[in-house]
Amino acid sequence: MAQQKSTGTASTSEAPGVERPMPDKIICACANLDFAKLQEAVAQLSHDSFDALLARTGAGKTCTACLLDLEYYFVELKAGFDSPSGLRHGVGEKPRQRQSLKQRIYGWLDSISPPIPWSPDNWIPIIAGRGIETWLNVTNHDLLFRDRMTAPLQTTVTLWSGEGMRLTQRRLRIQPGEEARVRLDEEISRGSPVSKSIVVGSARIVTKAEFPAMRGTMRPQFEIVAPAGACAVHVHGVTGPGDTWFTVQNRRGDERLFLAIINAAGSRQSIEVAMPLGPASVDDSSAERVRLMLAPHGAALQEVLLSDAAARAVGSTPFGIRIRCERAHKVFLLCATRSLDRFSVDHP
Amino acid sequence: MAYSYMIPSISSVPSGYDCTVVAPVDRLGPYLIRGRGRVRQTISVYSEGVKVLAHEEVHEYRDSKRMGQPTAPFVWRDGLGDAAGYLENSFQAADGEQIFLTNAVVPFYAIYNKPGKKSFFSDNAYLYASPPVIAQIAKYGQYIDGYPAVRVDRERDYGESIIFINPYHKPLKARILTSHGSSIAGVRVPPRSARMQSLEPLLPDGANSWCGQIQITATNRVIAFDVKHSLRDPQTISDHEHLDPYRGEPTHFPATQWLRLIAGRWMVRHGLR
Repeated sequence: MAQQKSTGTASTSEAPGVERPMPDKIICACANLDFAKLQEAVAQLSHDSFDALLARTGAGKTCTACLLDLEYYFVELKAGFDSPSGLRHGVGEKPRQRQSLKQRIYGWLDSISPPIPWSPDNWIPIIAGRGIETWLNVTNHDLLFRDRMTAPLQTTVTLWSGEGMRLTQRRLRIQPGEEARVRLDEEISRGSPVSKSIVVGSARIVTKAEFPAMRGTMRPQFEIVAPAGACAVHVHGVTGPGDTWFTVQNRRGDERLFLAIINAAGSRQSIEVAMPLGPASVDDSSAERVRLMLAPHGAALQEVLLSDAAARAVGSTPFGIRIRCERAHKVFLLCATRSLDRFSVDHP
Repeated sequence: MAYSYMIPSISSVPSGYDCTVVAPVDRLGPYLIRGRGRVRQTISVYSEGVKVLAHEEVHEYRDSKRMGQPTAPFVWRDGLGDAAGYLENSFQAADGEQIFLTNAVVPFYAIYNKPGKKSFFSDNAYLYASPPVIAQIAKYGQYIDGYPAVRVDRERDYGESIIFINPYHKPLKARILTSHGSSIAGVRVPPRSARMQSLEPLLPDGANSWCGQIQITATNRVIAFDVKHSLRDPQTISDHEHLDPYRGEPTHFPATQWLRLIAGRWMVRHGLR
């Protein structure tokens, strides 16, 4: 089921942007601080924090209307003072640095090269079960960013079962001012064993703009909608090979924890889950390990279950879970009620 | 470049939950010049304009490793009544020297739970100088944040709120608007305080449910999180997430840069770099 709708944009006052001010421009009227004095203050305490700048100058503390500008100038001016070459640059300018021959050749090549769309390879788990739905949300609204140069978005969604079987591929086109909400779990639950209360598949999400524009705000988000509540997180790029870590607590009376592990590679891979690990629990050699073999583009839902001995050793102290993968992968942590009627989802 | 501090970070403290902070003190060594130094960690909890708790520890590092016994994680026990609060974590050189290689926030999660309730996890936010927020201020001169996956449903008891955190000395006013034209204006957040604003008033007239995108703007920078909870009992939280600020990057980049990226990945995969 797919819903696609168009809505109007709401916008308010003109967004003025920030330009480099004149030296005598007042930045904080309450503290009588102009831009020249601000530059001087930042230069004098260039190793110190934003709070120290406020304390030293007295700016931003009375009506606080200038705090946003002060924060911006503080970061920009510090970037100038901190540039490795020691050259100072103005607000909004890139630090001037001597470029190596390689950098100059790359710069020239980039300047004559045709632009191609940035389309990161994102993978998400699809969770299906009784009363559990997974949705993908892609939005292309400007709202307050009304001067953003926008382009229609093309999103390709490819679904795989947990066993790595390619199920469907859909293409969405989202115009500026539109959003797409697509339900993804139905194909996954079809054909899965009835005995399983919860099953997992995966989706590869590739979104790109149709012509050069500004990226704006919104990464696609996926939602797990369960009988008593929903949760959501933005899509995330592939990681690995290597280790992914989570820190959790052992609370098996109140919740169930699952790792949704996706093999983003086109070949089989072996994955090792080790727990509990430091900081204050058990060392690496005595951690409990589970080994999984995932088909190409397959996915697994591994419940986090400690043995009684490990659970006693850990108590309520947070412990680490290490997921060691030999190829490209993505792992999400799901925390559910015992009855699986409410979830939260997080990425490392 | 060296620093005597790392930019402090903020975690929310919603009422009805204990909060366990697993700050990455064992991972700080590589952020120190020559892997050594003494670091003062300060954790402060604020609510309704008052610092209700302050905790301080000094950690010593040599050869990029923290010396001494493992530290117990900091636990905030639910005790703010119905009020929300926030927690500020900072790392500073104990002796005031410039010992840090970077002042960027070290990301970490806080774990929230209470007996009888499932946990949820949330990451920390920059107190100031967050790179995407600075890029956005440069582009628009206004603080704007957004979240595209709101789902409010009266029949299914799906509630949702924004937690606004004002770590500054003066009150601020925030506004929430939606992709269908509704808004909640005049959300007032007193200094050193947090407010949980329900999104139920955004439901269109006569509707029992709504899914869509929101944006928020405020008279000052505000730190905000989206919380999905039971509509009847907002202290039963399912999920707690950061918002998604403006990203000023272009949607396209030079093909030659893409080729370098592909070549780099190939080399890493084959152990050549």
